[in-house]
Amino acid sequence: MSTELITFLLFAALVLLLITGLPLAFAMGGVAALFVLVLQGPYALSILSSITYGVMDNFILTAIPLFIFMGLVLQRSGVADDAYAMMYKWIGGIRGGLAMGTVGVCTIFAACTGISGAATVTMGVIALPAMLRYSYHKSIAVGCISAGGALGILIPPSVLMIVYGIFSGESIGQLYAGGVFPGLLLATLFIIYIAIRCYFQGHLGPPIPPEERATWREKLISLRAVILPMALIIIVLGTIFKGVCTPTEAAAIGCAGSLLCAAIYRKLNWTLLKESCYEGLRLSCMVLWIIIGGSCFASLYTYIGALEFIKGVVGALPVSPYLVLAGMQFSLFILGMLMDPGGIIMITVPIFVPIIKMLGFDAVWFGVLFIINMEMAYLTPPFGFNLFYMKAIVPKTINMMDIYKSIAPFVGLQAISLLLCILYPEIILWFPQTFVR
Amino acid sequence: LGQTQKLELKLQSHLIQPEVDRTVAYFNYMVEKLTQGQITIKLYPVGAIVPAKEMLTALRKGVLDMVQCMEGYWAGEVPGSEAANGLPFAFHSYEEAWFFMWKGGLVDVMREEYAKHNVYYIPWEAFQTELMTKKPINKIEDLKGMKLRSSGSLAEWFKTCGASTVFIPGGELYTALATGVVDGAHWGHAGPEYQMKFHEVLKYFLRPPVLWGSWNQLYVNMDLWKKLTSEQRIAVETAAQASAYFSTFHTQMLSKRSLESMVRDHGVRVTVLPQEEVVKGRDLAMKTWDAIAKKNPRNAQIVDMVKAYIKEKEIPEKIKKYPW
Amino acid sequence: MMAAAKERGKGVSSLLNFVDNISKWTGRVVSFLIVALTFLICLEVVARYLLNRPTIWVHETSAMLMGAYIIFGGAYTLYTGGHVNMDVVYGRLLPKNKALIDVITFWFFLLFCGGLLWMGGDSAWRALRNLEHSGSLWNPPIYPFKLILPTGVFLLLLQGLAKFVRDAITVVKGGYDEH
Ligand code: NA
Ligand code: NA
Repeated sequence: MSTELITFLLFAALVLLLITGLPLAFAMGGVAALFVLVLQGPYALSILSSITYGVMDNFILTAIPLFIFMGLVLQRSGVADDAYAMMYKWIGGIRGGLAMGTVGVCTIFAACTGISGAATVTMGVIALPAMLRYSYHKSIAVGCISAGGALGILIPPSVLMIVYGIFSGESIGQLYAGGVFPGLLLATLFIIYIAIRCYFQGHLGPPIPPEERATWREKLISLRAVILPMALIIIVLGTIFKGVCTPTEAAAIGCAGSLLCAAIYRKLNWTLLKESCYEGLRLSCMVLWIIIGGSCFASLYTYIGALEFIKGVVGALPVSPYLVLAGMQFSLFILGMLMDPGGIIMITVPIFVPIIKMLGFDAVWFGVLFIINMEMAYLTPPFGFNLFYMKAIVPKTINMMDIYKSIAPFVGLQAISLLLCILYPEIILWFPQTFVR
Repeated sequence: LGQTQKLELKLQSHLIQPEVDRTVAYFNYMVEKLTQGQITIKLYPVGAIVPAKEMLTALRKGVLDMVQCMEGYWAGEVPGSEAANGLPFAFHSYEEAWFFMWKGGLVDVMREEYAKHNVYYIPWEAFQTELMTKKPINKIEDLKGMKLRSSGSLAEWFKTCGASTVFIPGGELYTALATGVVDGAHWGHAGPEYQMKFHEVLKYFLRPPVLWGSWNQLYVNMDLWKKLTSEQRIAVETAAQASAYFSTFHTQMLSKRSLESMVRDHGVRVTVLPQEEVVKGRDLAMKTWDAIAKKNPRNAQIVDMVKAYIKEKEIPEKIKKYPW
Repeated sequence: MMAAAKERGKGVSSLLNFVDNISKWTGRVVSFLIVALTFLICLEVVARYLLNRPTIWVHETSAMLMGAYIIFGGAYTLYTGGHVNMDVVYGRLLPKNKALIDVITFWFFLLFCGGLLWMGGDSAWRALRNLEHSGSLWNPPIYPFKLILPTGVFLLLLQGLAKFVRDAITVVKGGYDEH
């Protein structure tokens, strides 16, 4: 059988299985198992166990369950709750202020955790009811939370960058540094967008009535709420930069810190611990089993030589490097609609990164562009994690279509950021090249 | 196996793509030439099919036909592998390590051991391991209290010298060195250390190498090896030896140039241990050897062989007797 | 006749519930490994940074805990419906049709888990028989780590089988109700 035919059958089988609703992890693992069996024979099934042992033994991957657990503890301990109450007292009086504040809190959250779910779920629980109560339009309220939550993977630390670093061989520290400014750029764009829209269409984000606004005294007292989250950020990032520990180990420091925060808030009890553990296991296993299935699929893909085949085809294209780059970004966007970002990384990185290097592009730059593209993947239907999270949280009055509509302008802003970062690579590269190298 | 049947073998390396091309591509070329195109080899870089630690399993099962890997990766599974990958301060050059392999009988011992794993063993390339640190090391004493990223028999030796060893995954090593989580590391010799950009964060380079005689080996699935015709086997072994010379000299040149560039362009300083310190290091290393020998009988056997070999003054006499 | 069938149904049901409970409780127990992992890694950081005496055992122990956490959590995650899927098409189907499709796609799940169980078991058995060690400075026996995979996948397979049986009953009877 020719490589072309096998490649076609492989992807056809995968797409078909995904449509049938088989969990992503088992669809990728199952297709890999079937093709290994047919093409090589039963003995070659040992690829599956070899890869799984490799995932179990990969110390860098421990950051994933640790960050997930940390996010859950912060969510349940009320730390984020208080930070939001502070925001509300300070800027609730401005048109769209609550939505802008939500983006701000999401940005802080993003600097504490490495996943998109923690901020999305937390803000969905805390900020969404508040915004709806003050007659914020659902399109602004739902959109800013789903988009702000996704920042967690772009602003370091980031689990997705870890996965990218593992599959591409790029330095995770460089990727982290590269994500800082694009992350802030995105947050700024979101805030400007909300400000402009709410300024001209006041009904989208009406200000809190003057009689309900907090006094200066109340405002100042509320500032206490940011102390702990700020301390946690300083500890996590500080331990990395001061050479106390590696980025992976910092995830554990963050976990301990989040438990400490919960203790200071007097919320550290058996129920909180138990629920965070149970939910943490569920989310972590979801992610890590996708990594196992995806690695099996990627390995098989290399094994049958399809990699070289695609590399050859793309490399031989007589087009400009920037057209190849655009083609890649476009295919990532399309894949982002259909798949989970972790899976996309595993399938495309082994193909794209060698080509990118061949074309003379900076691999760290491409890595961050990749992650910015994945910001969109969290929001684009039909398969978008943040859409699922939001669907689980929103009240019955908001349906799936409302969610789709609300995220559309934010996806547009993400696309603009992506374009800006392609046109002005310094946005990404200035920080890592100046401070990390 | 019929003369007309074409074989395409899969070889995975523990090296990244450019290094695979540098060390193994010539082997591929030679095998194809010597077998008149009967055997071709497909090269895969590290982790392409299975993780490096799992390559032995993949080889045993026949998922991979050949593996190029540093000896000692599977030290827990293959008794003797740890000692075979070089004892600290035992040799003074790669030639010495090379002769110990072929002449001192190491190859026979390891072939016997690997046969139990359904693997045929072909020695490939010996090289040195060199330490780079944040602070200068002028005497063995200076190692005391340092935190070093290390593994294998060298980790044992550093421990004996009063340093402690730290595990840092490869992907985080540069960051850990830059931020100062650890004070030093070794990543083979100057060549790969230059590639890992050690010179940006570690400004001191220790000479002489702490270990001569780490090995990159070629491992072949035994079922496949038995299936080959005797001509094909000779072709593979010959190609392996030819490319091993090629890659050894290339490695040494690369190492030299990398160190030169580190010193010239990046302000790296080379510190050389004086003779009495080298002797001190060797004395401490003897303790390490004994610790390694205690782990399993194969290690013990190899340590004894090394000790006997070092005492042996009449190497030239033995060279004459060698069957080749 | 009816009574006997009902008895049988009850027997199947309690067996399925038993499998659910195994998944639930192994999951709940291993979920606390994340706290142990946090503690261990912090311990290593303290030992290395403050006491200047890094341990030689934390890293390998962490790998062991992490392995158990992921692999033993697989069945729990399946039991709680945590493994994400694409439900653009699937989500719109009737329960009976969903069950029918699941009965078909189950074989891919079986192939994947079966491969893992077989080959993981093979590796674990080898490590146990030869008393393989990790080969590191600490050099602990490696078979406990290797055993995690086949054991955990066995539980995952069991949970998958329970789902398969439920789906099959749904397909045949047009619905499934717990007894
Ligand atoms: Na983050
Ligand atoms: Na999407």
